[in-house]
Amino acid sequence: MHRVAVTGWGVVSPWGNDPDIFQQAILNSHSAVRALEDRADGPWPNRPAAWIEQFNPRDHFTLSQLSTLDRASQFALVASRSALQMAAANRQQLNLEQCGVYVGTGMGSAGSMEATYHSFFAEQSRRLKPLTIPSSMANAAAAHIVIETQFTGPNVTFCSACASSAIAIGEAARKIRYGEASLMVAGGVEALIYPSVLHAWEALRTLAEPDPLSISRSCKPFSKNRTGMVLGEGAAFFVLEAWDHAQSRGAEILAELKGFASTSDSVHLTKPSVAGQAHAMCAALKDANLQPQEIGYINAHGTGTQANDSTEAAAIREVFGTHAATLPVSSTKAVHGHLLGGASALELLITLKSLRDGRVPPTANLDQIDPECVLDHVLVQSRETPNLRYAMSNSFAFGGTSGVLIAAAVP
Amino acid sequence: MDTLETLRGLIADKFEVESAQIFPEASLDTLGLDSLAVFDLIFDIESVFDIKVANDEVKIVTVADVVSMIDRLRQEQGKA
Repeated sequence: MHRVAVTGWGVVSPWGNDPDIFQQAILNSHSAVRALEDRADGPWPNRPAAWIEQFNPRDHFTLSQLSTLDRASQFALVASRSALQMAAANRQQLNLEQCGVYVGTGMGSAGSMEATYHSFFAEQSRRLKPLTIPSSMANAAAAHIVIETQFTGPNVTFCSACASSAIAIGEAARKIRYGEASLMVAGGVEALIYPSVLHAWEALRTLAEPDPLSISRSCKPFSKNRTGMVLGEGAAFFVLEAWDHAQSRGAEILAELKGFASTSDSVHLTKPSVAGQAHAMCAALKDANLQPQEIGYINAHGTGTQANDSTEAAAIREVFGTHAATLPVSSTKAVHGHLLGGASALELLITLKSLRDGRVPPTANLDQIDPECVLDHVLVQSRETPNLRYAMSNSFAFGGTSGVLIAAAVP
Repeated sequence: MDTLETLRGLIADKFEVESAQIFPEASLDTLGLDSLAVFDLIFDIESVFDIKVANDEVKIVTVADVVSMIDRLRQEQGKA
């Protein structure tokens, strides 16, 4: 059994690709949520979303490369490159057969699919672009990363809605733990801010209504006046390594992945379950060999929907008992939106940086704590947590799949 | 329409290849076009030259092969 070290991370976010600037934005509740209707490329529903404006594909790729790169693959490649660069993992040092890539994504290459259907149905074209299939397949991002890195170990894409990247990262950690890989690039990506996708989510009555006073405050996790979630886009990737592998090549170890569990509610297609979520958190604690009271922060799934937040709060209280009264919890989705398959990865990055910096982010827009959501919420401002040792990141998906990750600070 | 010149412009713009490198004997492979890029190029050739390229026509290796394929298909399909 090998301990799992995190030696690099990378991000593509509405605040750019620098993880430190990203974390500062999250700590300061600098919201990326805006009105879709302000965009000219609709038709959009009258709903807010958090999208990335400053990402220029030509800064990262040639025209030739872009012919097979959906926006999701672009994000994934840029974030994974940053993670590998941070880990200073160059190919010459690695046994490529022992290296692999696990990616989580919910909707895959949504943009390419929408463009194809638009061409076929709306424009009545019967000449579709020849690279439609390879650029839109759900595992395209992972394929591009292994081709670029030349890793020849496992290459798998996990698609379990909002838990996809927790599972990708957790399973990658297991691959290392059991000695089946020495280094894994793992993370998640989502690029779904497209009109048909947004209208489909809107039809499910899950998207937050625009806040009448400030659109950027529309997503209100755990608040009594919450009206739903806000969709976001982006990517976060990590370099995970066997502890001794990282040490032997002199890599800086940034954090430890300590535990992971993936479980199923087996109850309903979309309705969350207290028992299911509690089961996942307990299983992750067991996997990490930790007691509930040892967890010092939870980055909650906290979507801002009626059903999720009260369910998750009840599940946290059930698992942590009296410790829940003094266990800081926050949902950062209020400012970066819900990245579905990329959410767990982005939120793990926030969690790892919080562990490293001893400061956890607040839940923005938590105006009135819902009596059904009582927890030790980090309100208004970030909170200093100098003794933070272990933190949990929750992801609970449509389909009833849960993915819970537990990380440890490195002294 | 000068087939070679038009093709040269197409390849140069689409794949960011220096025009000077796109001479008749140059292989598509050395210009950096893999099999998927060739499919993508043929898609544009069909639009620009108003021809249909059948699946068994795509065994093209050099720029000259592409030029002669285009000229022949334009003749055969009455587009010359």
